[in-house]
Amino acid sequence: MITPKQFTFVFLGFMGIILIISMALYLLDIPYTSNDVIRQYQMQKIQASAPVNIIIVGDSSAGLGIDAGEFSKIIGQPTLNLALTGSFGIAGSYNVMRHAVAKHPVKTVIFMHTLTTWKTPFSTQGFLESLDKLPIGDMQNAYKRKNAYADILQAALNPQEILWYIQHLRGSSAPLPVIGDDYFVQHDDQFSNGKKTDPGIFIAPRVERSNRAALTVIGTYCTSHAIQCLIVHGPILSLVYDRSRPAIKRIEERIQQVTGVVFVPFVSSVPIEYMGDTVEHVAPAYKKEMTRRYAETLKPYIKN
Amino acid sequence: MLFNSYLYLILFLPLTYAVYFYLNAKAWHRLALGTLTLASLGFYAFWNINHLPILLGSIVGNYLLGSYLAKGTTTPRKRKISLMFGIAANIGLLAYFKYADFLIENLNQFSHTHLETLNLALPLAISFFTFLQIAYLVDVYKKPGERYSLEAYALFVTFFPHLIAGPIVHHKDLIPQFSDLEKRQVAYQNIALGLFLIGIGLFKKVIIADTFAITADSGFGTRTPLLLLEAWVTSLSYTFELYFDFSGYSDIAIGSALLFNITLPNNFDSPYKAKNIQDFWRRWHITLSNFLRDYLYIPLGGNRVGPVREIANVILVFLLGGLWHGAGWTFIIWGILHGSAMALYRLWQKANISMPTMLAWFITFQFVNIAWIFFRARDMERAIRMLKGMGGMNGIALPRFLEPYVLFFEPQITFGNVFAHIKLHDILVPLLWLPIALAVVLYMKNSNELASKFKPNTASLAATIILFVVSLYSMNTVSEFIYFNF
Repeated sequence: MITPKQFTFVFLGFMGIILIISMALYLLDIPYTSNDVIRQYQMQKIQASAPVNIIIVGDSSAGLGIDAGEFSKIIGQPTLNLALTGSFGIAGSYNVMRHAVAKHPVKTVIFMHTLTTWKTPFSTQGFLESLDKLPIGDMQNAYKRKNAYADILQAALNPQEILWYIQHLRGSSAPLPVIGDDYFVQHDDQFSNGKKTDPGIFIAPRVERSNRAALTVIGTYCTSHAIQCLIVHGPILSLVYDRSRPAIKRIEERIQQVTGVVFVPFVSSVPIEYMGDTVEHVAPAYKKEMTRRYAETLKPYIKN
Repeated sequence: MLFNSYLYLILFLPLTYAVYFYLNAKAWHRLALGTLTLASLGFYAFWNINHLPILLGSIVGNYLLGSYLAKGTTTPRKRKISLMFGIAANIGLLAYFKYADFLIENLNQFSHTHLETLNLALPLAISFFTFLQIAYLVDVYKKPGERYSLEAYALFVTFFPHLIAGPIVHHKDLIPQFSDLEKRQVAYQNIALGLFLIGIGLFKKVIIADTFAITADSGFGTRTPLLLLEAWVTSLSYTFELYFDFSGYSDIAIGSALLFNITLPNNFDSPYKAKNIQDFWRRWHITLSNFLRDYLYIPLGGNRVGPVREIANVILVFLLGGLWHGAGWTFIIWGILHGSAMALYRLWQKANISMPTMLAWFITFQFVNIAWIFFRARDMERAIRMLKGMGGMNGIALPRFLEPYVLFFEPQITFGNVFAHIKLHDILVPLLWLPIALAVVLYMKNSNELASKFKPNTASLAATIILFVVSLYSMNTVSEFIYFNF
């Protein structure tokens, strides 16, 4: 038998320890998820690389689809590919842009996200994780949260950090992806294992309100910083593209309504034999050719 | 602010608690109560600060009118007119925000007008704080003389554990507790029990309700007509989701209040154990049932009128109870269904016919389950589609292993792909949970029973820590409580 006072203090002590460890892990920013790995990699790239005029931000469709060196050669301007993953969403790309602008003389930013991004709700966690001391800015209005600081606190006190860390230490979580050729190395499965099948998916004809709002914030930022911001879709399996044309048209109409960004009406529809491990990832062997397609399409838009 | 958020559990609740009892320890009792009111207003405003003036205006208006009625010095006619005005103003406010668009849409549909809808955002908790205050006005009208300070009244309405979704408290039960000096001291027994209840509530919401929500949302969200088993799994998932969600909310509310030495009334008493519909309503959302009984059914004449009026009253009370939950035909139908069932049960009672207990339970549970479809479905079309699915009218897909055993020819029966319209990962875990949930609601002690036998010992401490830790680990994606919509 224990007294109610002992009950209370043991409980509070236990929970307190959990929260202190959670916050410590959050602040230490130890990379134990693939999102941590790519975010830290791209942030280091921003800090370490020579000055660039062009940056490519977006998700894995951009990371695996664009070879920055090849792109620089064709365009004639130094370019960095700073793509994160789809988990960070458009707001994550916005933060990467802000980090890069603070360090480099950026003139052009290319936002390349896969088509399914637009229907995916705003990723608060992705936004906050990529913030890294940047001001929250107007983006909190984009996700209709007036208490962005409370969200940060919530993220910092998340006890799941402990679970993820223990899983990572024990090796029971998925192995962390390896960086190679300027981005993650693709998994050798699905399309790239020789058993290519059409997954039969469609693109949803929807642009989440929060994504449109986020895009508006990006447009305002680009205008106020005199930066040219181009929006272009990432590559997609041709079968998915063919059956989703009306939906894609609808998405593009919505994007074009946003001012401050320039929409580039181009979808790289890729035959199944050139696809990588998902319908949005081109196979590694096809990366340079894909880069050339994008560079030639974007060249007329990019200001010198 | 949501109960199931780190912000509430880790920051708001401990901080409010610490400040409240610190001020009380210094004997600054009025300041302590004022701080608790401010914290409660902050808790409310965190959701949408624009609605705070509506809450404050409602409190001040009702307090002034209540004080006037409590004086009891004016003529009975004037007092009656004042009460009528007060009730009309409260219901008018609720109607403006909650029912205006429903009325406009129906007017447009039936009289072919083209009136613009108002598209107003529903102020959080308006249905709850309106009811609390109507009860207060009626009580001071009936028994003048009872007057409270504005601080006490404001805290009664806004006290954060019950503000958003109840339990619906009575001013006579709550306000005296705020002025009780004994309740202003830290009571470790209450802290231990409060934490235990919060742990249970969190587990119910985060682990159980949110798991069932995956299937319920998937099934109710699809445009495709569901097959027999899909429809049943969807409807049962929602039945359990709603119970664990709302009773979990109530447990957290009662537990949170208990930390401040305030006792809130119980809202649930194992409702799915009910063996008739009257029994169900004595166990489900008890404080709403009591309110409707005391402030609507009895004033309408209750069972003191003739049998026809009594039945009409019952159906009317449930219809209004349905409308209270939401402005839509589905809620009206849900209310009428429950009202009719209650009326039928009374006739059955009068006829003195008995029924085997298991059969009575089964009929009651299935009736409640089917009626929830109207409560959950976005519109009548979806509700009917779900009912058709449950009746096998959209087709029946059975597991392939049953093929040799189906001896009769039914063209709508197919084999294999039983859950063709709900994603497999949306259904597997909730499907496994269904029998567990049924066993829990039927055979396990409910929160009130556990609380009444609670003793702070190693086992209860370990249970509380486990409930908290498991829930905190699953709270990455915060979801609203269902009753926040009402």
